[in-house]
Amino acid sequence: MRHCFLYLPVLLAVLAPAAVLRADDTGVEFFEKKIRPILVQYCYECHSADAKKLGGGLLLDSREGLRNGGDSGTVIVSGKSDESLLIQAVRYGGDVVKMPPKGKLPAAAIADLEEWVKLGAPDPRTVAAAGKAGASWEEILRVRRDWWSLHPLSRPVPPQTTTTGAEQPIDRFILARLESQGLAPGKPASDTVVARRLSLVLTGLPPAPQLVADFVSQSATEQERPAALERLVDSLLSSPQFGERWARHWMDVVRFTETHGNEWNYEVHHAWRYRDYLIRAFNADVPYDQFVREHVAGDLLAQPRWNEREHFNESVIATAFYRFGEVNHDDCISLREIGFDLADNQIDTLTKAFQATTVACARCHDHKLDAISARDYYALLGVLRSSRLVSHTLDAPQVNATTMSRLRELKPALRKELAALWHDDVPQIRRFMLAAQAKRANRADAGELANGLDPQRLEKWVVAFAVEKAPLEDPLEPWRRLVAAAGNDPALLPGEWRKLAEEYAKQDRERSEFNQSQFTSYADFREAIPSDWQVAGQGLSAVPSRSGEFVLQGEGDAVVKSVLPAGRFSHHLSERLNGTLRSPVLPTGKKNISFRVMGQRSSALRLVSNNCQLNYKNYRALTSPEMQWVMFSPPDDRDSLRTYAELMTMFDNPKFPDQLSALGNDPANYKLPWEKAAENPRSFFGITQAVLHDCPEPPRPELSHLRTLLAGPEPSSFEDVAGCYATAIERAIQAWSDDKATDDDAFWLDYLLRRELLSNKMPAASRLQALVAQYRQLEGELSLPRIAPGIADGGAGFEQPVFVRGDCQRPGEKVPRRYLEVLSTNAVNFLAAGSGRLELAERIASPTNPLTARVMVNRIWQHLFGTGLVRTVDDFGHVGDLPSHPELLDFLAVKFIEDGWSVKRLIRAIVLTQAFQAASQPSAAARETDPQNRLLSHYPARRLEAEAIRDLILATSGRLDKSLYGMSVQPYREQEYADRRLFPGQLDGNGRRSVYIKNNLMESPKFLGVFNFPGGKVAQGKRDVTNVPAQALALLNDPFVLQQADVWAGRLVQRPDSAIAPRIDAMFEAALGRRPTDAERQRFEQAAMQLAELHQVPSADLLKSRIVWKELAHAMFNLKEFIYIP
Amino acid sequence: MPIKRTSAISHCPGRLAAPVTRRDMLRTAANGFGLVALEGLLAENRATAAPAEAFRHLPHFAPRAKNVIFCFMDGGVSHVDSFDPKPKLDELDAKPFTESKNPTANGNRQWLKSPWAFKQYGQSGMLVSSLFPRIAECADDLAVIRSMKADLPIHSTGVLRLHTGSNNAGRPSLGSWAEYGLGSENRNLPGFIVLSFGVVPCGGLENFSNGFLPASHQATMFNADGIPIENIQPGDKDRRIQETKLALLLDQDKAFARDLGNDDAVESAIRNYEMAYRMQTLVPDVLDLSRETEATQKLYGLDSKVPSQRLYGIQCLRARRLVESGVRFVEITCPPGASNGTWDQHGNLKAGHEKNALDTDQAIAGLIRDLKARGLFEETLVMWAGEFGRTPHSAGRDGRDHHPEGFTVWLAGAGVKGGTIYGATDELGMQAVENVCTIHDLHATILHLLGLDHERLTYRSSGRDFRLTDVHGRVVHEILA
Repeated sequence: MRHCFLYLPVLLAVLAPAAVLRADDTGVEFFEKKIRPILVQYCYECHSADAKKLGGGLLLDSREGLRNGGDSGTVIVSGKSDESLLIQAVRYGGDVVKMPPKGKLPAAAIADLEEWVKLGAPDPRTVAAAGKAGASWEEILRVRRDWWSLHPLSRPVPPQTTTTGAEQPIDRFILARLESQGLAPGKPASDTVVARRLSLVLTGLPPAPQLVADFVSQSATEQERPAALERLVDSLLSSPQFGERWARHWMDVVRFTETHGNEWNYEVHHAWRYRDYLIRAFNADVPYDQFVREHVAGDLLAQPRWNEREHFNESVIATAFYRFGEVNHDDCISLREIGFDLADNQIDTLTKAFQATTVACARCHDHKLDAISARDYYALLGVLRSSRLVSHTLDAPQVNATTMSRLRELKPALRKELAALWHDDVPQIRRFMLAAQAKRANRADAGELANGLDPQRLEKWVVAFAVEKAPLEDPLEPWRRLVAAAGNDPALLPGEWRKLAEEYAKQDRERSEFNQSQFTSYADFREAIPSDWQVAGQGLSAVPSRSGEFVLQGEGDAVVKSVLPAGRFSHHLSERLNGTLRSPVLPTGKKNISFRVMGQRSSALRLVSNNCQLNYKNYRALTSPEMQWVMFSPPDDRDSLRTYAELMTMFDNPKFPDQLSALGNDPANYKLPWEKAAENPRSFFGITQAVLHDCPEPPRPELSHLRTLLAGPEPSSFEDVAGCYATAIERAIQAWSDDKATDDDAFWLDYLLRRELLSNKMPAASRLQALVAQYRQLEGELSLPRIAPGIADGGAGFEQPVFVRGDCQRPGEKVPRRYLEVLSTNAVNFLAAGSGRLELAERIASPTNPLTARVMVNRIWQHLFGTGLVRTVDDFGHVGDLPSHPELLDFLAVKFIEDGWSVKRLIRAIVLTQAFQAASQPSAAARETDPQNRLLSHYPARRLEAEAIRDLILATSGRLDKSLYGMSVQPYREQEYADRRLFPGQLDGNGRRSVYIKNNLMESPKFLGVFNFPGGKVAQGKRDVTNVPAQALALLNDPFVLQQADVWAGRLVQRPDSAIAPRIDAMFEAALGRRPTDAERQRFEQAAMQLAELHQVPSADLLKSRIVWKELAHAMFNLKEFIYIP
Repeated sequence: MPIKRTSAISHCPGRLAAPVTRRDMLRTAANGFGLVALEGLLAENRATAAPAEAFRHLPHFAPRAKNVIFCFMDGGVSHVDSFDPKPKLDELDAKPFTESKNPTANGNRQWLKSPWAFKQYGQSGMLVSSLFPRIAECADDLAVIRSMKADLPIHSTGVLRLHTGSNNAGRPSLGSWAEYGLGSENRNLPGFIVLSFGVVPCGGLENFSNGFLPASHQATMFNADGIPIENIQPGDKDRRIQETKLALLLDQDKAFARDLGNDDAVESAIRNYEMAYRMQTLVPDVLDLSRETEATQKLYGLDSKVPSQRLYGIQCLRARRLVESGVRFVEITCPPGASNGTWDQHGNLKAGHEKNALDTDQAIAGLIRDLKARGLFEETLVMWAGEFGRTPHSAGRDGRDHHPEGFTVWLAGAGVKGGTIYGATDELGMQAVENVCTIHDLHATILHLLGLDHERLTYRSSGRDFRLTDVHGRVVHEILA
């Protein structure tokens, strides 16, 4: 579906008219980018060592061949394209041979060849084609390995420069390049500009006026200035807003999004926790190598980083980065590309983010230009497919531990009180049954029989008896059948009883036999969770529930919600606790698998195939509080689809809230925002066993709980029958009271309680009431589960076959899991035991990895200077750019590693350079020689990003709410569009910084979208910067901008100014971080008066006129300077 | 009476009077232009404003079509109920169908005959169902492709593929490619406009995205109701107030640009204020339908009592006015219907399709007639397509599911051979069997009509040259005049 096919540059003359060599480029780059692809695509078929038939004796796949020429002699006359046979041939003119014979090359390709010959036909191919072109991958790799970004980091010595004053090593690198081009370094920017620049770049917010004033006054002398500057930088680096800004930068790299787009736009549930993780990580200056390890394998670290204040696992949150992007919800078994596209996007993000390498281009074939083979791709795919996409519970073990143990301790006392309550019910059971039966039959004695009985309870019995077509296993079914057969003639009762007992015995036998012969146990949760199942969540943290464990109602008069059989129940202590259970890859051999489960409120049971998290196939919402069998037919190739079973509660459920929940008959959360749907956090599931089978139905309900009831002597009256029931019930209560209940006993009690046939209300002022109140209070103290989406290992690793031409229907040879060959000193495969992600993390986070430090240093440089030393921050391969300052890049990378991978130290060192503090005015010479300012002769002023523009407006108007963290706020929208999960949000986003605005894949926040807010689908380390009228329209007319102008005006008119001028000065300081010039002040004064006139505001009232100041505030927001990093 | 094209154009504000050469474009787009233009603007001397960037790339060969109007039939119209009659279905009606592997079509299935009758129209004798009586009257103008084949029976991938040639989001939309290839003809209007009813189609707004093309090629959404474009309504009711502020901004920004050494980006931004300023009046002007005669309004069904029919008529008439003003590509979406696309009638086929047909039939036919009357039909391509067809079989008696294996689209207007039927599905409408036409082929054909070679219209991104048609696509010459 995706064709990673590298086209030849065509139409280049049109698309990139100035795409000729830059002064500092080498012919090598030109050859690699332009010429080699032409030769490969158009010429090698006939002119290479492994051509089927060599054309004209000419080899073009090696430098030697090209220079030697062919049967017609020399083909290239260096520097003279018109005289070169090769050029004449491709021009299709004159009487020379026309090449390529199949059709003329695109004009751009011909132009490139001409240009290349004019340059002297530079040809870096040092390795001869070794007798056969289309050389083996080993040979290709050997050549491609020789690429700047794959070379080990060098330790360049800062060069000597002739210009004095550059003491910083970084400045010396920059200066040396400038000098080599005859350029002078930029003049220093003013203190106010430096302060504003630093604040915008480091925190994304304007500097507080006081901060600027302090800096200006403290840097009055040359001696004081360095220290004052360092103080300013340090205070900005240590402000919490630093983390917010740099987190957002990284969010671009990992294609952060909070919904999955596609049709139903499912939530990336708890995605905001990753955003908060980033903010904390950047603020805490987590060493970048650790940051990398946490992203790649935060779930596998021997010693994860714990958040000591919040008591949760930080490291594991980073694995959420795998989970962003667009995700399709369709059936990925019949449409299995869905799963592979998803993994492709993960590989793409992983390798671009940390290695600036386009591994995803090797999905269909070996990379066309870079040192990446298809085997590399599938080795990594194996790593990802040996992993699972999961919901991680972050809570540390101590969270809720005390409360949970106190809840547990209350259970015996509760059991004692409940048993006593139910024992008191026993004597009346017989009377209730007889009275209810009489009432149902409208018998004359109904009233008399009801005498003294609780009418409400009696009604419940009537209802229970009235059930039609109840299954045999219903405990009241024998009674109903006997009434039907002998209700009018008790004389028939003994005979009917006999018949019934025989029928039950027969059914009991048949069902047991059927169940024993047809089903193989797969997993049994009654003793313990099978060791190869993965378990997470506090609801499952304790030992399994024994038969008769009970669940309390969370509120109301009723006490007990359920009496449970032996098994695993996420809610045995509280429905506020969460849980997930995951099976190993399901075994083959049997057609079907059935699970005996219960659950409610967006808990679910499903089979996951190919890591498709939103798939609707084999997904069952659990909607029953009673145990039931749920059957699936897993796909035949469940092995290669890595199909496993998963049970989870609402908070863990990635399909919650479920747009398709109506399909699962759980419409409660349909089309609500997450926080609304999760308002009631209660959710639960339970499981007792799973079985495998070929027969097309799950196990039949057994009848063991009715054996003793029907085993007794034949009754002669319905009173006797009722007596049998009373005895059975009493036995169950007694066993439960003694903590010796069996599943059958538990079933009886659960059945009766669910139908309110046993007392379940707290007597007023009773000990039971006090215990329940205590229990509920403790339950309320349980903190809700904290969850992040992420990745986890899924048992033993999996060897992924290479897909021929990327087609998942054509598996080829299997490849072991390992890292990219070119980045492995020796191609060691990963351990068989797990996915290999931990080893992968170590390979990437290694100081000897040539890319990791270079790539991050370059990203940081880009955010400080607008452009990376390598402009293509996500691609350090052959189609990427070459570094403008390769030695500086290496110097910084080495320094970065030696400084403990500290991002803050690196930023600090860079912003303290003269280059960063230079003024942004280019010299005439610089504009001529270096129009793109690659050599940094001046600081590149540039437009701020979308988020910063919005934040700046809020900060200037005074509306900014600086609170940190938390669930995202909905972007501005007036209408709800629930089908696409677009919900209304406030115009001003509650004043929160843009990083907290919900990032919706279906529709980016409107105001931000105008200013190139990134897409959330693919890694985008460098944002587009467009310059379109929609931006002008937004700043002129967007209601948010107008609203904030008014907010600011409201504050301005409160100022006790006595004239226009000081107020204008204050506005300049707030909006631009500087005072106006005299001319500017006059200009604004004049505008103020004109606007007052247009609004018919008398000049005496001008200072108090909110509307006039709103106009000026609005004008301020529209200044280019306002949205520029100076 | 046909109105001469030239008179229509010359009165259209912003429409370029004469073709601009690439050299002219480069000259006028040089540094400093924005400043001059905005100054001129504020001096209310609008005539002096120089033409903006246009004809970024000249076409590869002489174009047949200058503009495209794409009537997007969101959700998938049933081909066997509209333009591809299948008498055989009448025979098999209600008989069991068992072969489906389509994941959106589960359950016990049976063949379902069309509830609508087909009739011959025009000199071509084209068979069209009673769903589209008005469009049917234009049969001799249509080139119907009955052998379309899409990829997956999924809305999101289908809609994305129809718009961008790819199942996954992230690629430029057809309209973006067209505008990228040919540039805009009006300096004050966007070149790619989507007339929207506020429905976000499956696949999201990515369907109208510029993808990796420069952002200026993304679609601008015009709403059917209320304010036509985000932020087009001036925040200042009094024009003089905005002008006062703009004058202030101009002085400040000029000084700022100068401080940065005549910074190109700042100057472009200043220029954008000029276009923004003009769009505020021009857009409402172009969309002002009150300038149309009553007869024209009726032709589009603007007198309809059915609100959705009236709105769709408004959109079609707006499309004509936009094209007339030099907008390169206009897409008309459908009024809201089923949640996964207006035509997505898994159930309620009869009522649903009839309602959608009622909404769109008269207006589309009206559009064709009106374009012809104005001499615009020869240079405007009208395209009618959904992401797939619907299954000839069904789980119930009144619904059809997604069907990408064979379905129908049609083209009309510039360069199209009217009264043509191209390709065929099998006798049950299951598979495209004759002259199979993929979405890539359709795209290649549309680009061809615009004078663009789909193999040469490329854009380099992440180190490779991308095409709308990826590595596929064949121009369907058989339907071209």
